[in-house]
Amino acid sequence: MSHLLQYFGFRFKMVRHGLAARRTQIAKGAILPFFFLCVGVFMFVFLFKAFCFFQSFDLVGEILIGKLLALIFFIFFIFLVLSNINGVIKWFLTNEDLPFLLTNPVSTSTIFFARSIEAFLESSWAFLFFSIPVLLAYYTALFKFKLAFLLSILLLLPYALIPYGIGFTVVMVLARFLSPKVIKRAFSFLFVLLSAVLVITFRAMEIEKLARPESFAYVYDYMRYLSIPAHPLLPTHLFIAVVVFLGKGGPSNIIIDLGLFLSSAAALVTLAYWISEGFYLRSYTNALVSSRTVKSDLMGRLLRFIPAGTRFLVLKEVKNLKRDPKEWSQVLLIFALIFVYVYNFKSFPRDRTALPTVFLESLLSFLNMGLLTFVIGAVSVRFVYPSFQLEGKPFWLVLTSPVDLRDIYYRKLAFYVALSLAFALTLNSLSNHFIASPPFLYCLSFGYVILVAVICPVIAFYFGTKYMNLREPPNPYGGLGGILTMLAIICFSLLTLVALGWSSYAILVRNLTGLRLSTAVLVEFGVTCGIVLGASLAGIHVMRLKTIRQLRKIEL
Amino acid sequence: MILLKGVSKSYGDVLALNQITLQVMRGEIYGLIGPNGAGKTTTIKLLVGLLRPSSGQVFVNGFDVQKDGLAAKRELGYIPDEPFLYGRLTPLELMDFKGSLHDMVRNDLERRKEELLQLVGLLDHRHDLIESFSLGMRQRLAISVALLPDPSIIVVDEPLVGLDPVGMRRVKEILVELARKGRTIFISTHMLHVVEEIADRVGVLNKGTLVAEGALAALRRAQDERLESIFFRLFSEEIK
Repeated sequence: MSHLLQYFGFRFKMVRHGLAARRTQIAKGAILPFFFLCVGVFMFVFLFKAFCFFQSFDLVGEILIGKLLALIFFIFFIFLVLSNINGVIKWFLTNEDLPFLLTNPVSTSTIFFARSIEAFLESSWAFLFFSIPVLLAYYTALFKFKLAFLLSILLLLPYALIPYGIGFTVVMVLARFLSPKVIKRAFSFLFVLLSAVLVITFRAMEIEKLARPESFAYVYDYMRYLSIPAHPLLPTHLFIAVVVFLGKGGPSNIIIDLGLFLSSAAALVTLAYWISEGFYLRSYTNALVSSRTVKSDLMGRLLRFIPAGTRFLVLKEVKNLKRDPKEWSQVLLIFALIFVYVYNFKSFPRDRTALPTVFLESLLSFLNMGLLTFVIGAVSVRFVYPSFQLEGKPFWLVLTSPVDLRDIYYRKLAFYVALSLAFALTLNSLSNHFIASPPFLYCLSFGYVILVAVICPVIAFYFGTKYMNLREPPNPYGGLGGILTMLAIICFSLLTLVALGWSSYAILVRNLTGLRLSTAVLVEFGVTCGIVLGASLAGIHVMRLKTIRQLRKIEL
Repeated sequence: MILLKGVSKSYGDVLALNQITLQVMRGEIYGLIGPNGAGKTTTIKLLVGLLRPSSGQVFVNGFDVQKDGLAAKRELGYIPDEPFLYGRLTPLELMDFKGSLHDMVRNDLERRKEELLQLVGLLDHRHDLIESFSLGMRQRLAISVALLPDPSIIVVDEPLVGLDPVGMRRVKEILVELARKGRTIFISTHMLHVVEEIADRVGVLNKGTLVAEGALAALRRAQDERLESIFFRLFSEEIK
């Protein structure tokens, strides 16, 4: 116990010194907590409204609320398992201070408890934080705020301990045969695959049908539609049973459910402890040795038509992406999002709306353009923004070579603009097909999307190099620079779409009423397009110059 | 030829290098020694263009590293003290990338790749991902990558870190051989015996100032005085 206290005493000092060193960046550091707080508030408001809405349904309202709650905590559970697997790999197998720790006379149980607390907190803080607005919204909607809410908060801890126990056991057992990198890759891939399947399945279920019970022929069909796979012994099921009981009372077997739930958490932590005592040191020894061989260079042969300077840079980017499932598995998730995006437009009930069709088509086209910008912007923040940051310390190789950083920038930009264009044009073509946009709006969205596909990587590179620190690993969420990139892209989209919408309104009305297009209307539209294009090109030019200047200032 | 003219470098309020002036001639091996924090790595990073001087100029074969950086870098091969390399590439892919940055001709590149990997003993690992390499293997790979474009000046920061005795001997032989072929070698190291064995001239750096410089013989008070004794004599005040 004294070792444990000493360990956390040192850890606390490290955190304190770290904070003292970053005292000048307090304002910057406060932005992310504020952002998370805003997300929490948004979640509360959204879920509160949803719970109140479902409650208004007779008979099925409570079932719907229970299903929604179960779904949210089931998704949290899956995230927690993967997050804990990553946390355990980091804190128990790959952290740089492990050789120091393990060569001192510290017992395995002390290391288990000390590292478990750190791995658990790092992996589960987001769950603990974002579960609060969910539970708060649930109990507020049921007018059972105080005691039930506080008791349910206490249940979050055993709920989060269950995936920790699972994650720890899985990692320690697998680490006896596989390297931590392989485990991490395999689970990252499985996780993203599962997320993609979940997203597609969830969307293909057409959940919006639940709000239209009249679309079902029989009550039985409707009830069957509500069923979500569950098992009475699943921790999610037990947790929700207790939460729902605290909210509105219910079956008398709640003591058994609560007992099963708490004992599951205790049993998994105990199992993790036993596994640690028996396996940890052998797993760590295995983690120290690993190698991977790559012989095929199919990609290199395929890209032979690109000039060597650009080709090897592109190959480096692609191979880095390909060999890191954390990165490329997210491409899979993007495809799932594309599916959902296109499916939303495909299943949009245009025939059920009272708005005139042409007006609706125009509205949908502009909505599509705005959403497309958001999607391309988000993809740019995830993949383009950290591109230079990902170079990291090995960037000395480029900096000491006889190549102008302007050329490196242009090569990277060309690569990402090509990908962005392919992605944007595919999405635009598919969504316009399902919206059945009129030719004028189709052409307009086509031009707009090309502009967006170029400007998003330019903005992402600008902020990516402005907030770049090659000595530190990239922040997967983009950090402050990522948020600013997204804000800049949204501002650009809003201004451009308002300008285009305003100037094309007269053309659309004339198309609708069959009036002839006057020269003044066409000139006005042409001038607006010219201003939008000119302003965008000027923005691209300025950001391009500033990015190159930022790159040339790098010292490593 | 390397020429540093009145070079200073500050990090905020801290003066890391103060008015350094030194010259290294073609075919010469120059050893820069000094205690921790003396400014050795800063000097090297200024030389290869990873840092910009606060004042003064750095010339490489007559090219100003700041004003004519590309031409200067074409002359340079740099081996860093910490061999951070792209871990998800194989040695062959890394060398392809380095070759493309130097616009190397394909045939030359292919020949040099095999030759150099053979030289540093990594030919059997040419298809392995670098992330699985030990420190010594990375260091040897960094050496082969630096030599790939056949530079006329080789700048080495702590050349023997992480190498086993066989690797150390091999690297020393390579550096001497390169100097004999007319390449200029600039080494910064803590390992005084390495400098003593291979360097033609020595510079002693302390707290950002060049406190002594010259051929080893000129720095000696007695004919058999070792570099270690010279080093301790120069820093005796500080050690006390």
